[in-house]
Amino acid sequence: MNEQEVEIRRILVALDASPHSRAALEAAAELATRLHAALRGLFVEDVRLLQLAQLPFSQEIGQLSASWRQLNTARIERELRVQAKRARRTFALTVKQMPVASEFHVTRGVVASEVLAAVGDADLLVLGRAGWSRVLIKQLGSTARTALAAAPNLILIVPAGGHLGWPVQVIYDGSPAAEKGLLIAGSIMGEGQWLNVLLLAGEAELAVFHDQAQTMLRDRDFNIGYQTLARSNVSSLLQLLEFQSNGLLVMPLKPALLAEDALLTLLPRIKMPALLVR
Amino acid sequence: MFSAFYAKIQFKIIIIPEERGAYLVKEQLQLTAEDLYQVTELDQLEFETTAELEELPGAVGQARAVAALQFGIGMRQRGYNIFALGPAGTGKHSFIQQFFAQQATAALTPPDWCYLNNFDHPHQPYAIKLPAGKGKEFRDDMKELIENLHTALSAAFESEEYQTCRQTIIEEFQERQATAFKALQAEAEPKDVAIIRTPSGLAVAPVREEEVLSTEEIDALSEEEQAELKAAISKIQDKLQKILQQIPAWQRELRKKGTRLNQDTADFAVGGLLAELAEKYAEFSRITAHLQAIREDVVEHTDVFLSSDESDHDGAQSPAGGEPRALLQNYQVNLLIDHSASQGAPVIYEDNPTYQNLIGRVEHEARLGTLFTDFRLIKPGALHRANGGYLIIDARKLLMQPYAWDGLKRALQSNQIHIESLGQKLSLISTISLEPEAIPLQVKVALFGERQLYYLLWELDPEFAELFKVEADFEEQMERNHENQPLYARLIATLARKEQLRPLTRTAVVRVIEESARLAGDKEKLSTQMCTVIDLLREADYWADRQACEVVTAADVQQAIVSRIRRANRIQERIREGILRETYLIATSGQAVGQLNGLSVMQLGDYAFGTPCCIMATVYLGEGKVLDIEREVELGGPLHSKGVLILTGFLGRRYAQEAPLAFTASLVFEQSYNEIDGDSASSAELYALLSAIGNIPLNQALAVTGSVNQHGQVQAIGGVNEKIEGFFDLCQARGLTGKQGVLIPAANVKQLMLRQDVVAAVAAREFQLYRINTVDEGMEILSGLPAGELDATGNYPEGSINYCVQQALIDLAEKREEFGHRDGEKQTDE
Repeated sequence: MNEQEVEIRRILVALDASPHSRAALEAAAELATRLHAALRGLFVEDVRLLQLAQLPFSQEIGQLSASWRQLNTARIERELRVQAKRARRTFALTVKQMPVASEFHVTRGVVASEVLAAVGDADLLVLGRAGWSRVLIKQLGSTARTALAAAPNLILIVPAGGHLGWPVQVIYDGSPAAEKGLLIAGSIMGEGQWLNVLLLAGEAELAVFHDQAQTMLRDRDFNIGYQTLARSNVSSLLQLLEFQSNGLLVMPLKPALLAEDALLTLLPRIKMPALLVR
Repeated sequence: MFSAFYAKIQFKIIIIPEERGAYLVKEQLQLTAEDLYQVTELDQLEFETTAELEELPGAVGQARAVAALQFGIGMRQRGYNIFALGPAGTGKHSFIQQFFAQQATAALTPPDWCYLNNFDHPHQPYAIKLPAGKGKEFRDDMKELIENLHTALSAAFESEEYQTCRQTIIEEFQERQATAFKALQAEAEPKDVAIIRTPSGLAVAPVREEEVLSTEEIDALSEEEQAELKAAISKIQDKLQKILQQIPAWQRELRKKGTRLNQDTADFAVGGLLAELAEKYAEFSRITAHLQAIREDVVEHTDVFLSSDESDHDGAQSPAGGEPRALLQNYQVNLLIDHSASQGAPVIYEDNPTYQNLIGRVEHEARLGTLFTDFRLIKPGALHRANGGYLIIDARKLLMQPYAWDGLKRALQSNQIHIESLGQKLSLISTISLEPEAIPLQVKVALFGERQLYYLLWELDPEFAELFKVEADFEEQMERNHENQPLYARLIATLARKEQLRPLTRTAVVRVIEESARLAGDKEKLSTQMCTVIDLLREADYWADRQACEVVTAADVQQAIVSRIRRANRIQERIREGILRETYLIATSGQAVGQLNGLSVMQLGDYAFGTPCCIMATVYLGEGKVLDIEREVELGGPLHSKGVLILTGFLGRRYAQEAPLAFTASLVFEQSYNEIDGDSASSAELYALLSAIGNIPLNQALAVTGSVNQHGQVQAIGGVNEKIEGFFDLCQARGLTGKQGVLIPAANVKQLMLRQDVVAAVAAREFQLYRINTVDEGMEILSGLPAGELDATGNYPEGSINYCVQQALIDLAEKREEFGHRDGEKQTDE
C-alpha cells in the first residue's frame, strides 16, 4: 500500500443543528486545509418530520416550555428551511478564511440514506457523533451508526467539543486498515508533532507489528512513540483516551482483538475525533 | 491784582555775600571720612581663609525665632502650629528645615498606612495603621499570597480530583436524563412509538422499523388499532412532558452541586494560605478580618478562576467570565505611607502645595473610554507623608492655590486627613467616586512667609489665630559687634562650604561683612537676608574662578558688587546723562531763591539708587496755605502730603503768633513725572519755602535730604547712602569743587556705609557732608546767613534768616490787610 492509495482529495461533511455537527464541520475544514482537499457540506431536510406533521394527531412539545402544540406541515417546512439556511451560513463562515475549495448542498429525504447517497466519490465522510434527531441519549446517532455499517472507506466521527489536534493516536493491529490508518495519520502530521502508535497485538506479533509500523513511518520529521495496549479491550483504550478532548484517534473500523460492538462502546465515551478506516 | 504782588515778590531778591555767615556752625556739622564707613578690623577675625573655620550650626542673630520654634515644637496641644515670618531671604525655610530635622531624628518613627479594599462597600476603602516597616512587609506578603492564590486555585481546578468530581456531577445529570428518556423510549418501542426531535421541540411519532408511519398507513389501521396507538402516544406524551418539566430542576441541582464543588475546592485551596497570614498578623484585627473577607470573596468568585475552556456544554456550573488577575487585584495592598526606610519623624517640605498635593487624591485610569478607579489609585498628599512629623509650606504658595488653605485648615481642625476631590467638595460632579476612610492626623505645620501675610491672615481669617499660635519672627538685621562679626565669618564659611564655593580670605570676609552692613542700611548692623549674601558669595566665587584663584579675595567680592551694580544701573546712568545734558535741570553750583536740590531713591528690582531732583517753591499773597502740586495732580502719595502739611505747622508756629500767614505757597518737584511718596524731602521743601518767603538765596552746590517736624527738627530718612552717592556721582561727573555736598539728618549718620570713592573725596575735602539737627542749621549752611534767635522783644536779629522771613511775612500780611480795605471800600461805593 502506498500513500497515493490513501490520498484524501474530497471530504463530505454532513450538517444538522447539533453541537456535534458544528464540531464535525470545524474538524472537516481543518483536515481539508491540511490535506488541500475539497470540502462539500450537506444538509438533509428530514422527510420523516414532514411525514410526522401530516399525521392527524401529531403534536410537539417545546423543550423549553414543556407544553404541547399541534404540528403542521407548513411550519415544519419553514423551520427546516431556517435550519438549512443556518447550516449554510455556518459552513460559509467556517470555510471563509480557509484556502479550500468548498460547496454546499441541501437535499430532502431520510437523513442516513441521503448522506450515504451523497458520499459518492468523497474520500472521507465527516459526521457529528450524535445527530440532531436523537433525543438526549448518550449514544451514537442513527446516521453515524448507519454510516459505520455501510459507509465508505473513511469516516471521521466528531463529538461535541472535540477538536482535531495533537497528539495523534493510531491503533495498529497489523491489518490493511491499520496500515492505511498509519499512512493517513502520517500524512496529516506536521514537523515536531507527536504521533503515538498503540500496538494492538498478541505477544507473538508485537515485535513484528512494531517493525512494520517503524518501517512505514521511517524518515518522518515528526515525533513517534510506541505503546503496547496491556489488555486488548475497550476499557484499556478508554483509560488512555477518555479525558483527552484534543487530538485524533485513528483506528480500523473493525480492529482485531476487540469485540464486535467495541466501537459502539468506545466512540460515545471519548472526547476526541475518531477516524475510522475500513 | 494778585499777579502784581506775585511779580513783586518774585523779583525782590536780597543779595547776600556767600562768605557771610556762621562758619563755626558749618565746621561743627561737617562729617569726617571716619563717620562715613565702619571698617571691620582685621584683628577681630583670626583666620587666613574660611577653610579653617568650623561650620555654624543654626542661625545667627535669630534668637527670638529660635526660641519661638523650640516653643512651637514643644507644645503638643492642638493649634500650636508655627508661622515663621520675616522678609524673603532671611533663611526661614532652610533654618526651619534644619531645625525640624534635628528634632525629628530623636522622635519616634510614625506608623505606616495602607488602604485596603472594602469588599462590602468597594467605594469606601478602609485604612489600616501598622508599625513602621510592617506595611511594606504586609504588602509583600499579600503580593505573594495573590501569586500563590492564583497558582493554588489553578492547580486545584485543574487537578484530577476536581475534574473527576465535576465530571461525575455532569455524568450524574446526563445519566439521570438519559435514564428517564431511555425508560420512556423502552416503554414506547413495544407500542411502535418513538420520540423524535423536531426543529423546535420534541414529538411522539408512530413508527414501524424506525420509520414514521405515513397517513395512508395510519388510515390502513383499524379503528381499534388507531385508538390504541393514540392512547399509547398520549401516554408517552404525558410522560415526556413530565420529564421535560423535571429537567430545569435537575439543571438547577446540577448547578448547585457544581457551585458547591467549586467553593469547597477553592476554600480548601486557599484556606491554608490565608490561615498562615492570619496567624502572622493575629495582633492586627483589621488584617485578620480582611483575610477572612478575601477568603469569602475567593469562594464567591470561584467561577472566575475556572478557565474558559472548562466551560461545560451540559449545564454544569460554568464560568461567569472575568479575569482572575482583575479579581486578585482587589486583594492587593495600597501601601500609602511606607516608613520602612525612615529614621525618626518625617520632615516634609511641600514645594507645590496644591489642594491635591496636600490632602491626597484619587486617581483614575482610562479604560476603553471610561474612567475607572479603585482603592489602589489612592495617592498620598504631603499631610500623609508628614503625619507624625513636620510639614513645611511656603505660605504665599499655599494661599495662591485654590482651596489649599481651606483644605489644610480643615485637616488641622479635625485632626484627620479626609481625601475628597475638589469636584466632590464643590459639588461640581456627582459621579460615584471613592470615599476613603479618613486617617488620623498628628502633624506640626510650619508656614513661612512675609510679615504682611502673617498680619493679613491674622486680621482676615479668624481661624488662623486658632491654628497658628506660634509666631516665629525672623530678624532681617543683627548687631554688628565684636561678638557677632566672628560668628558672621563662620556663617559665611558655612554658606560657602554648603554651596561648594572656594574658601574666602580674611579680607574677603571683611568685605562681605562690610557689604552686609551696607545691605542692612546701618553701619552698626549686619544683614541676615542670607540669600543676598549667598548670591554675593557665589558671584565672588565666579570672579575668583575667572582669575583662576583657589581662594576668593576681597577684590573678587568687590568685583562681584561692582558687576552687580553695573548690570542693574542702566536707568540710573540714563537719568544722570539726562542731567549732564541738561535735559533735567539740576544745578550743582551758584545760588538761587526758592530752589533746592532734593534727593530721591528709586528702587528698580533689587537695585536702589539715589538721584537729585529740583524742588521749587513760589510764594504769593494768599491765606496761609502751602499748595502741594504733586498732590494736586495725584502724583504725590499720602506721606508726601503729610510732610507738606507739617511745613504749614512749622511756619505757623514760628512766624504767625502775632499776624496770620498771608501767603499761598506752591511746592513742586520740577521735571518729575512719576509718583512721589515719603516725607524725606520735607526739609528740602521747607528750605526752599523759607528761601522763597524771605528772598534768601540758597547754595545750589548742596543737596538735602531729611524729614522735618513742626518744631523744625530734622528727622531720619531711609536710603541715605544711595542718596548721597547719587548726588556725589553727578558732582563728580561735573567736577568736584570742594563746595558740593549733602545735608543729611544727624540721626542718619549711624547708617552711613558709603562707597570708598565718596569716602576718599570727603577725606580730601572735595565733597562735604553735614549732619543736620534743625532747620535753622540747615538754612545757615545753605544760605551762609545766621538763623537768628528770637530776642526778648519777640524779634529776630536784623540780617538773620528768621528776620528776613518774618519781615517778609509781615509785609505780606500788611499788603493783604490793605487789599482787604480797598476791596471793602470798593464794595461800599458800589
